[in-house]
Amino acid sequence: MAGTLPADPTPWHERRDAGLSDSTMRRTIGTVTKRFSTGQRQVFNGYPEGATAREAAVKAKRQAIRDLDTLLPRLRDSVETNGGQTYLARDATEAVAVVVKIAQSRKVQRIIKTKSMLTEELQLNQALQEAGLSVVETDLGEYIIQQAHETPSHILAPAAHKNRDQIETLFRDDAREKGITPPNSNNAESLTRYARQRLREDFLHADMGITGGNFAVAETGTVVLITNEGNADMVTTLPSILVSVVGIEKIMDTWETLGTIIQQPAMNGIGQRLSSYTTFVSGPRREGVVEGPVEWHLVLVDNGRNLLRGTEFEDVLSCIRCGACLNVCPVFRQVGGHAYGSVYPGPIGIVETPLLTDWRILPELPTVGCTVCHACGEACPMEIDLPHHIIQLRQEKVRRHLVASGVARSYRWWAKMWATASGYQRSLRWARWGQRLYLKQGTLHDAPGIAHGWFVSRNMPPVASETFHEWWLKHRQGGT
Amino acid sequence: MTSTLCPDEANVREFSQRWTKAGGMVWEACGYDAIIKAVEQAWYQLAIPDPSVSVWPVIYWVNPELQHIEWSQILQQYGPVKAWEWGSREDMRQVATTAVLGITGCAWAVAVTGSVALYASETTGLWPSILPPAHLVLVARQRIVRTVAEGLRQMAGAPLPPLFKIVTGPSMTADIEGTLVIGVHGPGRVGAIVYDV
Repeated sequence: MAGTLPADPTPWHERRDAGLSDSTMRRTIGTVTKRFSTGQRQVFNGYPEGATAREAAVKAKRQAIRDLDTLLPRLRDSVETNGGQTYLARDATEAVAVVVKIAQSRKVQRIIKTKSMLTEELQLNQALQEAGLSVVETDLGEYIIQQAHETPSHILAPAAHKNRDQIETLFRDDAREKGITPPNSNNAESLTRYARQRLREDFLHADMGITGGNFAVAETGTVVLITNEGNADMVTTLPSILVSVVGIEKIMDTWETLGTIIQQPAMNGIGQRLSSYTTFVSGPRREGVVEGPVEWHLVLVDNGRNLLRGTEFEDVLSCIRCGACLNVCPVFRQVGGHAYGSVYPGPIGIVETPLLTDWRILPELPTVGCTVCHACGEACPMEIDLPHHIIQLRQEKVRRHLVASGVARSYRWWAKMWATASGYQRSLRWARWGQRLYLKQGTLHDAPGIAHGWFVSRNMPPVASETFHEWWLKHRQGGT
Repeated sequence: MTSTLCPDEANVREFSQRWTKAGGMVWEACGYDAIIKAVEQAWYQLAIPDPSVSVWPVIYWVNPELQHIEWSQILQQYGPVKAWEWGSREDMRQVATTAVLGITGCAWAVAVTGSVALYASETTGLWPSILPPAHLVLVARQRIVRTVAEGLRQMAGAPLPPLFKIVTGPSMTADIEGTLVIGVHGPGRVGAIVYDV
């Protein structure tokens, strides 16, 4: 069953141009992605155990995806034995309905949330707000974009597109509305201090917490959350009701294999051996314990993930959301996350968005968002063959007739011409003749048909008046 | 290169290096007198109470081998401190929210990551490590294992605590223009006393 993901209806060229002309976003994205990708390279230096664990983690994760049919019921059994309640949602609609029902049936009023790409995928916040519930994102980056009514631009740094002046304005507006003291300057410390004070109130007064989950361990019924800010510690210890919304692909089989993968998100995401806080939830609080939820609900979400199992794209489900592929992608680093129009940007988003939705949204992504430089394939710690998958998706797009007929016809003609030496030479002769219409001061400025797009942002040298092949034919004088 | 350190010493050294690299402070203490002296040093580095406030609350729990120490009396030497032991009141959450320092023991620690593991139980709490602006963790050197996987392995076979966490440095973020800021929701100042009794 295909999943549903939100999509930006704005055409690709407008999204792309908006990204390219946003100097704030490009500067910040440049800083963030460079720091993260440098950190990823450095963290493995002198730490061979980290590399060994990564290799073991790849195997364990692949196996867990293959064994999902047995691990899923096992996880549910373990969680329920521990005193939690579990739900299996086939798609976004079902998942959202479960969470809203839990909140409404318990007369919840204030909800606090940790960062979760899955809940972005489900558009959970909108659904909760439409049901009259107050929900506050507590990761600083997510809090900023929630105030701005925007979506994340990077999997790990959701507000990477905003500068501190913009954030100060948002916080000042918020302070005015709430009648509280605004931040005293636009520096990062001052803005963070404001968010700390503001969100501390929300932490202490919330009656329900919502988390995602980096991993879920079938053997023990444990959900693992990784943060640097400590907000997951607040969300899991303070409210009396806790709902964890976790994709089915996050399941690991045993406690032992968790040990192999647990450091990988931090190592590959931000270049640390472990994030500041790794939080483990295995059940509601026991008698005599004052911390933790009285009720714990685990909502396991499919939303198109099962479509990938048993296919050549199955390895995509191994993604640990470290963002390493985004940080090295030359396209992402120029256009930013919003240009993709999907919750999941960058190379992983190009692959996942059409696959999870069975091509219902953003079919242009595999074609427009990749230069096939293979940097993402090298950076991915889970060895997901992203470049190969992008090529496969381009082929699949043609098979599904999702390419405009004029474009498909042009490429077919081009391929036919260049399949033979004589065709290639003939095409050069035609190009040399045709380019006269588009030459200015010895440079090619435009071309007809699908080639026009190439010249939107660049010029090209003209076809040579005599190619090497032509010169060789004249001068070889019977030689080889 | 062959290390001449016994595994225990190697773990202590690596834990101290990694904890410091992650942004924490470390004191090593051998014997009770040294522990008390390290606590004093830690207090002046970590707890920065408002001098105009008449009471400086501290919330604490320690591992069994340190429970006989008169923590209230020791901490009162540093100012108008009111020390609350975990579980001594109904409203531990309120105490943790107002505390200037949280002091905890730990179940185990990890050398290669510079981390400490804390469980939520009747006698050991997590709020002292997250709600106050500073956290001091007392780590018995014998409880330091080399890897996270070893630490997790120690827990296998018995029912897991419903809630536990691994702390690796202070609360931090780089969400605003990629600038690193310490102390977002949790403590901005963290310290560890690695002790041997």
